[in-house]
Amino acid sequence: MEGITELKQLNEQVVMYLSREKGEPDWMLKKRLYSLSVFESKPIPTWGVDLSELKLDELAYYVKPDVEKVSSLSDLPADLKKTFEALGIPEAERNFLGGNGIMYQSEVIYERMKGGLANQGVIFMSMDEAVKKYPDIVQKYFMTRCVPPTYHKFAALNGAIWSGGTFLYVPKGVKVSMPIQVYYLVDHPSMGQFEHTIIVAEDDASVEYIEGCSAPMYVKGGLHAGVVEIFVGRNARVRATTIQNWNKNMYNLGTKRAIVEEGGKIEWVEASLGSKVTMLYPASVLAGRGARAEHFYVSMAGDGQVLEAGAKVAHAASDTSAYVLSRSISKGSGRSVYRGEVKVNSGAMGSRSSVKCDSLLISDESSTATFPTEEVYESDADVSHEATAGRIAEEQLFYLMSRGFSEEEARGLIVRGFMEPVTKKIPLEYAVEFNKIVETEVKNGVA
Amino acid sequence: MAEGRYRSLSPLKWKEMKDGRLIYREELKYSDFTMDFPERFEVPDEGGFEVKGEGDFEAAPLLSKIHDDWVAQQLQRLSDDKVELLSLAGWKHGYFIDVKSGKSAALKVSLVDWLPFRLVFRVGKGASLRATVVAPSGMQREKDLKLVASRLDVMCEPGSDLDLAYKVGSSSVEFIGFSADLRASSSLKLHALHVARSYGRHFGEVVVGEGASLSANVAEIIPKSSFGDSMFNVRHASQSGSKVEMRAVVLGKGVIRGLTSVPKGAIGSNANLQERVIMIGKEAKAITSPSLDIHEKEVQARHGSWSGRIGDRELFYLESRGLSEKEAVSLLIRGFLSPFERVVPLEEILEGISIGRELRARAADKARFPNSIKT
Repeated sequence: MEGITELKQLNEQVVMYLSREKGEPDWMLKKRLYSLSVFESKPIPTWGVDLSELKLDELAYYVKPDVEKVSSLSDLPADLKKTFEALGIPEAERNFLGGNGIMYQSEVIYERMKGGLANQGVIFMSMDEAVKKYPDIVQKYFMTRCVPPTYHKFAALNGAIWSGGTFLYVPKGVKVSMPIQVYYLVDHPSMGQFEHTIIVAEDDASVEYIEGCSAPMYVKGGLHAGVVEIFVGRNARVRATTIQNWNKNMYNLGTKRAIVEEGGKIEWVEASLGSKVTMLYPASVLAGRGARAEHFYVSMAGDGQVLEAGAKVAHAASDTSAYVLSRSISKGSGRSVYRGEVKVNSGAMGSRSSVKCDSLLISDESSTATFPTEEVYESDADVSHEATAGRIAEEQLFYLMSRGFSEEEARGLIVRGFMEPVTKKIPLEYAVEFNKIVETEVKNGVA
Repeated sequence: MAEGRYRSLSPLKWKEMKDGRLIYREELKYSDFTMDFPERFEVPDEGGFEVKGEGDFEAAPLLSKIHDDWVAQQLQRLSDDKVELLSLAGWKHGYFIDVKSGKSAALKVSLVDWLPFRLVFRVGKGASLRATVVAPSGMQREKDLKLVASRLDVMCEPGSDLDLAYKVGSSSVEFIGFSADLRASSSLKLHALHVARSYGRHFGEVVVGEGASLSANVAEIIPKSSFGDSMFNVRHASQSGSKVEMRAVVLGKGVIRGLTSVPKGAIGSNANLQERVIMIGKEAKAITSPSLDIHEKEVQARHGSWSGRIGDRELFYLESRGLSEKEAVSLLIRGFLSPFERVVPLEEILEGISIGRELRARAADKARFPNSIKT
């Protein structure tokens, strides 16, 4: 990767150049070129949030970070070190993480895993390295049956120009007790970050993966179109947590999908604060009997933000079950939307699905919408959906104020309580931070 | 009064005339329905209706009222591009029922002959009306009518009160449109039952004015190898309330969609949209989509949906008390549809969807998959 520092265009030559510079095998180049053709053939989706202001041709598709890969956090340049210290990452690594990685601009600049895990056969490395070191395993999982390039336009874009991301492989029966975390940082105007992450938990394995995302504010917005593919083996368990705090002019159009085999369980935990537009619909394909998916989503849409999210669950085998809980807050002129889909295939007998989504409107300008779809092609199923929307109830405010809280405190408390079922799923360090942000934002929103 | 058109969930698409025939295509992804239908309907000028009732009301064929400015204006306003076909169909064959301000009436409209129809109700200021519209079953004209498109339009003046129940459904391909305009502080209680015998679509659109209230029970019966699509849109103004309960018994393919919108300024409105679908038999497929679109903070809105088969626990309870499975299922469905007893004897519906055969299939299923019983 000597030659390039930035790629401003997207065409076949650029893709071939990037692939050559990264020293990738042939099959990967083919996959990239195929994805590019899919990307070019698909139109920008118009059914959801308005994407007309997204200027794809002004993006930097690849930005090489101006720091070399380091083996210890203390070797990072002073300014980055300061940023990460403020985020509490070195401390977290010491105290509660099994593995830690940092992706800066388009490359992973740091990754480290506690020694014992490597001995058990756990693989945790950047996707770029994994393609070279473990081509057989990666080729089996990379954009094959989970997120094929044809999934949608932005998945194809990722397939064409992806760089960075994580490859996490947990062998059969290995239970990783401490979470593995990767932090994504973008610090460049009008840049696209296209990381590609694959998590494989073989039979009876279990692992928890945490993603933190942030970016400082720039005049020109960027695009984040990452892909996360998760394979949950028989009786395995994966929890994938994302705390997203992109800058308020970022387009966050990620793709997340998991395939869950017999008796396995996937848990998606998403906390969304930043970005200008989010369209994110984590999907769970319950492919084996008795598989289970749980989706927890919490978001806060502030001024000018449109945060659209929802769960897509496909019950493809019998006795599968899913639980979706979404809690969203809209303030200022923000808009939060739940758009979800539950599908029960014919023959998926005894499947159960329950979706709950609640939204809270804090300001006069804010709005919310819920567009759930339930497609049930099997009569021996039980699918339910429930949602509420409204403002903070006067009687709750009154109750708290009569007990000595100021109105601000009372509002903060109610909002925290509203989000609690989801925030309690978030790792503690993040939850404290998240609650703090929400509380300040709510106060500002009310003022 | 809320301004503007409804946001429609899925507008229908029309194709040009081709070889002297109109080709209608389904834009909905849920079904691949395509059909031809004749360019013109042969609809008799008069007859077909029987209006009986008590109280103070005026009933006249729509054609005789067409020069009345008010009627013409309403008809114009209520024809939506989406239901173009519906407005086209019933012009000749319509009835206008008017209850003047402050009066009250109770009446029953029977369709003597199953034809495309158009009924317009106007309930004057402070007036009240209780009306039932019934198409007797067994009255079918499918031989010469391939397609039936009918509509009911309701205008409730401020402070009026309307209790309307209707049951429609024929063996033809069928479109039923319903629209209501509820002016300030009026109230509408609606029971709408639609039996889709081959292919049926049922649209409802209600504008709930300031302080008005709507309570709607909308049911869809979809027998085996039929397709039914039921859609109900509600738009709120300030201080208005709506409770919409959409129910369906599905043995074929059913789509149940509801949309409740609270536009900016509809302060203090209260909305509740519920969808309940009972699925019976192997062929049953159902899509539900209860949507909310809220642009105002000062509201209470909720929605919910449930689809699935009749609960094992309820069946077990009844069977342990000596009912056969068929009787138990019939009883549960009867309870499910009980709000509609007023418009149609439920035996008729239960007979129509032949549950017995489905139950035998279910028993065979159970034998094939003995371990599908949950522990």
